[in-house]
Amino acid sequence: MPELLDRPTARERLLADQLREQSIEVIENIGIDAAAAQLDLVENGVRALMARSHWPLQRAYRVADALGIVVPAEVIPPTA
Amino acid sequence: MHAELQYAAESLGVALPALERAAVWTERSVDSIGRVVRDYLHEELGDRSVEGTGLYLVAFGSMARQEMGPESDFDYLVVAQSLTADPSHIRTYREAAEKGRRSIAADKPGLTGLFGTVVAEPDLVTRIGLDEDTNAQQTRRVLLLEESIPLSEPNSYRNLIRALINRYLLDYEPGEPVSIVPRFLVNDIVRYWRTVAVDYQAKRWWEIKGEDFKGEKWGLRYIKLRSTRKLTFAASFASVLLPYLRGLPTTAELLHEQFEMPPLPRLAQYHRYLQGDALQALGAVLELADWFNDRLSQDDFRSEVSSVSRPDLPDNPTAFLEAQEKTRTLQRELERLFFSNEPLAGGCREDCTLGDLTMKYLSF
Repeated sequence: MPELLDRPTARERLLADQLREQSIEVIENIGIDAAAAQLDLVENGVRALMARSHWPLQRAYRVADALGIVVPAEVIPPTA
Repeated sequence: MHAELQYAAESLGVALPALERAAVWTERSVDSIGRVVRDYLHEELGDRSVEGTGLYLVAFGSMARQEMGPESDFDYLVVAQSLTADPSHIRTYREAAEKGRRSIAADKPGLTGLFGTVVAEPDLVTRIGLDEDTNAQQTRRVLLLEESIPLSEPNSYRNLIRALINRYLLDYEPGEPVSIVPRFLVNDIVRYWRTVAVDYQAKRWWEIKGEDFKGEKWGLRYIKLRSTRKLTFAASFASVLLPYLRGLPTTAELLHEQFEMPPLPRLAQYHRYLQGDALQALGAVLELADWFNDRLSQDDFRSEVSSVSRPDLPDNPTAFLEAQEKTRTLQRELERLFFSNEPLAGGCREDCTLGDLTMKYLSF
């Protein structure tokens, strides 16, 4: 599904928003410090992520994947 | 928040909660990114990262202005002091910066190619004016002065800023420094501001033709031009006038002290010298700066404003219309401040006003 990652569509936005919501829920459960370690971010990086209302799909995929969330197959880029 | 801004806010009786939050956010980000960069360079280069490579990293934009928020991107340059013996070191410094950027989840440097690359110190200092002073060259040089901070090698960075200021002062009378407005520096700062404004129209031309300009959205660019960018220019203009207004010799040391401060504190320091109407205008300007910082740190505001492609449409979003009106108010308040003909206080010279200097140096 490389087209999905290349061009923003309503479907892409929906998937990104779903992954963002799930990721934030995980971060809130495990705490900022643990999330920072899992995401290879500093604390401010995690806070910056959480403060953004929308994530691009590629970012949503990377974050969700690093947090161990099961990502829908259509989101996974061909190189992953 | 910078002490000068804090002091001005207290003295003027204005609240700057967004700028306070931004200062805290910036401090945390600079600390984090600095640590990541230092660790990476040490890991890759060992002791050579300190002095052996002739390279260092400089950050620009909201990080240097102490105005960062969750939406901020991270603009940086690798600065080379001279010819680099081992070009792989340049890659290492870029990787260090990229690692730092990713650690705070900031967006990549813009697509214009201005940042995220390597530049040479001699080019920044000596190529001022004429054909080889390209748009990118001029932008990097003036932003280096107006809004930059070192991420490594602070002494090398300070030497570069001092060299740049000395270049602007080189042609004045030798001997004891006198109290002057350094017109060469003023002209370069004004020239850059006018270039930004003209380039804004060039980018607009692309959009009128139906193409995005390198991914940037018009509405956000319009609001930023008329708020944060204008404020940065105003603060730099204020800084270069100040030694003369205070009757002090215009030395490189004094100008360096000025440009070590972020833009808003440089503007805010005028609360020490202004009176009456101009002082009120300064308070209003700082409150507006706070308002814009608050809005521009909000994801929803940015999305809404970015969606606007024409300023004159009646059904533009309320967020855009409100911000547009605030930019008009900012313009009026800046005019009230900079064209003030009230005498300055705090030991300033009595034979001229801020309005006199604005008229003289921003007109002919």
